[in-house]
Amino acid sequence: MIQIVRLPSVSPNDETAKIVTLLRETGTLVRAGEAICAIETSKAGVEIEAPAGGYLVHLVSEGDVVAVNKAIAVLTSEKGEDYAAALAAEDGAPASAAEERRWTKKAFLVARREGIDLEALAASMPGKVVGEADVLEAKVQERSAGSDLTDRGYDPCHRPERVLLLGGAAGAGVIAIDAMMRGGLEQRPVGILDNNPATHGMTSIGVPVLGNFDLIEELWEAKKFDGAVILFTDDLDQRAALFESLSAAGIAFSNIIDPSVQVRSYVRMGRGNVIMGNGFLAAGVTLGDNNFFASQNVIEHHSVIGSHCAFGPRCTLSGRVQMGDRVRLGMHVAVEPYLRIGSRAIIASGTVVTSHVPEDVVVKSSVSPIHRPR
Amino acid sequence: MTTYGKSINGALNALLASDPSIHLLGEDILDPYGGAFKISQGLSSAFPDQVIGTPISEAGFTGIATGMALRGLRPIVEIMFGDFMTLTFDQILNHMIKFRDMYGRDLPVPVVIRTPMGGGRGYGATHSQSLEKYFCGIPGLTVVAPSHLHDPGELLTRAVKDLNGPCLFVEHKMLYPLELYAPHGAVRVSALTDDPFPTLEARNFAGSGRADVGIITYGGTSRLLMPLLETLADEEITISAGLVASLDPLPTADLIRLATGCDRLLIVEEGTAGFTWGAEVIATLHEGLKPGTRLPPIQRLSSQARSIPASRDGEAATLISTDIIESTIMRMLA
Amino acid sequence: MSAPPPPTLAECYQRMVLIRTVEESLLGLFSTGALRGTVHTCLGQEAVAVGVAAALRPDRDVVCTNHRGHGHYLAVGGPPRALIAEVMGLSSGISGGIGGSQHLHFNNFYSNGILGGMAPVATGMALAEKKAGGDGVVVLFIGDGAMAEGTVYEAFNMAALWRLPILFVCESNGYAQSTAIAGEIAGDLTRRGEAFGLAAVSVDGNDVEAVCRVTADLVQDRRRGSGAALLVANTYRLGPHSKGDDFRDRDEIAAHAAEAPCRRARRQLDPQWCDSVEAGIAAEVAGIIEDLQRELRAP
Repeated sequence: MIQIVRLPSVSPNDETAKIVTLLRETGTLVRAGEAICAIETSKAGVEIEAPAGGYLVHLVSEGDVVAVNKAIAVLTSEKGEDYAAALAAEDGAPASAAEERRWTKKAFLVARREGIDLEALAASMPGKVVGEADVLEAKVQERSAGSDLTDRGYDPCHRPERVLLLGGAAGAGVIAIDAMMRGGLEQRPVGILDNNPATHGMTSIGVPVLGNFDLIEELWEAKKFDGAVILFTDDLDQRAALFESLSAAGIAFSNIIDPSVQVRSYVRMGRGNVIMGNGFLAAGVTLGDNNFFASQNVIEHHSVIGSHCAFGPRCTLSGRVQMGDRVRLGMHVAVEPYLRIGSRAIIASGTVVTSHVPEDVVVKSSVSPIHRPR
Repeated sequence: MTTYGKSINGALNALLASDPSIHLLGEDILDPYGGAFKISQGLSSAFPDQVIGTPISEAGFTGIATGMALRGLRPIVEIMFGDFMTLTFDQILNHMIKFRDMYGRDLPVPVVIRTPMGGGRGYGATHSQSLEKYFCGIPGLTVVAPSHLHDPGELLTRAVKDLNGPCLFVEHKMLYPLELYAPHGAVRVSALTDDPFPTLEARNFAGSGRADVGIITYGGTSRLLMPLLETLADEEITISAGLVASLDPLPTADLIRLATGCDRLLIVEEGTAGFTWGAEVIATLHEGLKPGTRLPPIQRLSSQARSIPASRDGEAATLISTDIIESTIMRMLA
Repeated sequence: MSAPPPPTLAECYQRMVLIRTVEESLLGLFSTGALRGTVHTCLGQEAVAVGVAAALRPDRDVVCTNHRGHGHYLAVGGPPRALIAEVMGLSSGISGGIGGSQHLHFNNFYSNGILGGMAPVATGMALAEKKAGGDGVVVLFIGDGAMAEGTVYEAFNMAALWRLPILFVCESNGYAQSTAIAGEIAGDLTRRGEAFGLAAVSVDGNDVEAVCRVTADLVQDRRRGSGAALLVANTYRLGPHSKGDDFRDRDEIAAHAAEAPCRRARRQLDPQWCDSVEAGIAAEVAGIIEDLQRELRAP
């Protein structure tokens, strides 16, 4: 028979007590009620009495500071009786080994933020606790495997749209790249493809010309860019065909809009449009895909423009003009309101359009400037 | 190494010995009882003329202390539980702090009121509160709340000898038996200034870099925080914790330094949520910033706004705890 | 342990007239728009102030009082000019123009406006006096209304328990603001003092000679270490609670006015002499006010 003696709670303010004196020796036979040890709390000194008779075994020493309810002695009915099992049974099995920690909490947070597979990383370093430094190292390695073509050390927490330019190495590329650079961190030009081999290996304000158009699918598969933009406008049919074939292949297109352009409410547009400096899209305007607007174009309210059109600088469409696809405008063209401009029409510079224009028509003012010597 | 309670007892002893005008008044402070938390043990035996046991009249003997101070004595008042401070409010606000300036001349009233606040012992709704926030913002009242990283006896001595005016000295009953904190492991502690009631900074990482989370707190919260700093160091979560001793007036420069040295700031107090001490800290930070500097995102953590239950589970669900502080930190970092 | 010689009735009369004149002048000044805030005048209660103060040594004994403290201030020797200046908000006032009518401090005289609040403070001052070892006493003036505040009884208890040299003087003037005493005090005021172990005495507060005598005895006992005491002085408040604040029956007031302290004292003095005293004090106070009004207008 084993009787365990536990440290009682003597005062509410104290969670421990000090063992001052062991009053009877281990191994002696004590009677119930005999004082077996003296303890001291912050409030008082108290003697602990044996709750039952038996052979006394002290579990603590003089001077020990012991927690309330801890076993301080054992009384056995037979001398030398083994009490270990009884003690263990009462106090419960030893705390199960803490689940082995595989990574620090900081490593967990950083991995989640950076999109690193922490399980995989931990598996790759068995027996070690993955730390923040390990996660960041893994991130660096992942980055260099698929690094951007022109890496200016951008902030990895912010991911701009990477734009691939098609054509324009010789000219239009500059204004498109300039527009993207001024627009803050949202877009970055990562490269130019140009079918003029003379341009290959050059850079246009720092953006490299990588090769021909046929590189585009390979670059897309390798996830080297997020969207393409077609910059050439000399042949609108070619422009349209390229857009359609690349779209069919699943390649995404970006819009490039100079930050000085005003795009008002309820404007809708497709993809692949280029709108250069100081343009104005009034409320309710609809654009299709793959249009190119040089600087200072004004499209007034509720006008609808199709796809694959090209405008020179400073054209004005009044309200509710409806325009088809592949229409080319020179510069300073003005179109009165409510007019329809059919697909594939060409309107010469300086024309003021005052009536509907059918498809496949060239519109030119009858008054032409005259040249004579000074 | 001494305990928080013994440090205060020692300081009281030294103060009474040093100056016969210093008196201690309170309920049940005479030997052999020596006070509800034993902080006054031995004092009435050693200094029988200077230790006065009072009837249960908190407003009465707080006013008596004011009268004593006006006539050249230096009384220290012990209010047995911080919860009972409510009874002293008129004597402090309309009397003790007013005499200094309402007569148009400088009439100092050097009274220090000491009281233990805080829960964690299951004493229930009226014996567990942290009411210090209601005494902040009283013009002319200094409110001091040492943690167990501070030397409370030293701070009490300064309050009694150097302040020369009304002071509420807030102790925490759970700190009384704890040994004063000795930095170990990854934790380093330093004083931000040599102010009489200094803010201490505890950092769980080396170097002067920015901490993941900055914490501003005071008083008994230190017992919840220090173990957490140690475990979080192991988890690579860097914490810079400011333990403020002067609740009012606020150590503005220290607070700005702490706030601008971390990526997120957490202000922790054991008082109830709503109109907290932390709100004043945040307003002060905003007002005190140099133009161009920005504050990190800030959160407050307080106990729940309800009566503190007596049961263990009830208390744990109501009062701030190490677990709640940790989970708040982790949420801030997510 | 020397007590000051008891004043003659004539001296008491002069002091009471000073109080009455200052209080009436302040009420008058209000009507001219020269004052801000309010005043709580002690018209009709002059004998309590003068009679109690007569037993004190203002350089040594402490007086604490309440919002209706002008009379007590003047009775312990507070300069009238500094009081009127204070109520006028001038920086030459006794509290620098900051305290105003209710918050006066002069020498060992302190007043504050929270009813019952000064009871513990005065008790603490008495504790300091006792510890200083001399025979200084503290007098606390308190009204019948404030005898409903709990802190008064905390102070009574400790003052008696520790045998402190404090005399609580309750000016029972029949009203707590607008409430007649029957509507706010249960039991008997004097017996309340007894219940706490105070030596408790009551006196006709409008008989200045009686107040002088009774207070002199009570103060002597305090000086000898007999502990705390309560004097309930029955009187009547002739003026409003505060300026412009009076709904009482006019006839009641008039009846009490006939038995006001100055009137009763006058019956035992030469009327011509009394008139000349009143005229002299009126002129003195008017002169002070004229001076102060100039000070008020000065840039």
